Amino acid sequence: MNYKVPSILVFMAAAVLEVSLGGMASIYGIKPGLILISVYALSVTGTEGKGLMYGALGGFIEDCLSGGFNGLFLSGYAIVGFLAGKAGKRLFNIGESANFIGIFVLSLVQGVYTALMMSAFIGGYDVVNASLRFALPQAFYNAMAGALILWLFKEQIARRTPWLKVIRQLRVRL
Amino acid sequence: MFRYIAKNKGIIILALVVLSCFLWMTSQVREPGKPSLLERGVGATAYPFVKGVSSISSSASGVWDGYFNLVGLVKENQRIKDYNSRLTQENTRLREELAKNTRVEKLIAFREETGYSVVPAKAVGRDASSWFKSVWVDSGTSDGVAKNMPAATALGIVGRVLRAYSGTSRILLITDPDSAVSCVLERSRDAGILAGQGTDLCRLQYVATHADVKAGDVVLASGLDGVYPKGMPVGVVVKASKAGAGYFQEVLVRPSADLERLEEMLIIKYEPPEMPREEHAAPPRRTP
Repeated sequence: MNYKVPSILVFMAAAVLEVSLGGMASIYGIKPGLILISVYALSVTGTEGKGLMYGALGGFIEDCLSGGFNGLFLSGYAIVGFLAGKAGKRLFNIGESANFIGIFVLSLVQGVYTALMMSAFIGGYDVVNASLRFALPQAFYNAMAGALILWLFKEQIARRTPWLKVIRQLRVRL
Repeated sequence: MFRYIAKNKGIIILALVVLSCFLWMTSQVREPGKPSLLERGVGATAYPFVKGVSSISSSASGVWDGYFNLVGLVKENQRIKDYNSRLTQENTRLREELAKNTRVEKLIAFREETGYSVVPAKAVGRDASSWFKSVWVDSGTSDGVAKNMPAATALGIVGRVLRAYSGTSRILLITDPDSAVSCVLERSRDAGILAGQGTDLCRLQYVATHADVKAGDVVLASGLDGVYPKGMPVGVVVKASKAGAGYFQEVLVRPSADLERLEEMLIIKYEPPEMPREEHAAPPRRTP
């Protein structure tokens, strides 16, 4: 229970920043997905179950604040959270370049999923075109912004993740 | 069986979540309803923060603009610098006010010209995702705003109300992939459906290859969709191509309203004219 309240605050802060200031950071209509980055950051240091929950929560907030179908981001971010939680301990290490690849791949997965869902509900929606036009640049932008944000908050993230501390200590010894 | 479920619990829950969401989305396509209690809760919670951050950012950018002209004057003495900064700030504020007044005057003229009852609204936030195009405005059901009311600036149609809460609403822009406006070309009177693409250009669909369309043609709302008033400007054709087309041309339209820099707009309390009801009278009984 103790991790739920701060995570809701993180998501709400990310959502407010996305809605109010996202336009300023937008490049050709693509802005950094702060909620997705938050889902990744919280899930990669947790388990797949927690990741799924974080993803569903972040996605629900994004659904409420965007003009799409309700459930679209909830399910997409749940996939991201689940995969990030599953891969977290094995592959990623906060503050390292792996985060860039992690966010890029998961953001791309979410983007392609979104395009597929939109093609199912909006007539004439081109999945390939949308994936190239939105999902790919969005994934790249998220990866850039996410790697930077995680690097800035690496100490705070490491503090709440005991296994990460151990990895770091081992690295220092090696 | 149970061991398999226990082993793959995570994937099974994820599959259930995705499946439920898919069914949820399907139900919305079939029957778009009112926002749920939870959705309204998140909207109502986020709105004051969005408005607060938005006003802080706009005043911060005003101050930044005010100081921007002073960068080259660092070596000037402090008194003149302060005085200058105050004047620059004031000047920026006045220019901002003037620009705002000009925009509001245009909106008032537009309201008088059209004769519709309107609700003024100010954009306070943008869509949270890059996939959809919507804006948050500071007028809601308490101001008389309701779902599907059209929103416009003096230049043209902006979009329609997607969700209306008590003090805020979300406007779905015409550039959103889920937006469709029934349109007609002003010059040739050829009809089409203007669909958003998620970019700054829209696509005018179902325009026949023999239709007379040229770049620069003005696109107007036809009023047939029952949402947007007939004759309101929507955009201008930027490209019309017959190459590779089957039955229809490829027509790209740039919206008349500047949707990337939306500030003030009017939400029109538009009620489409009632369609004449078809009388399903019983066929006359044959008399011998």
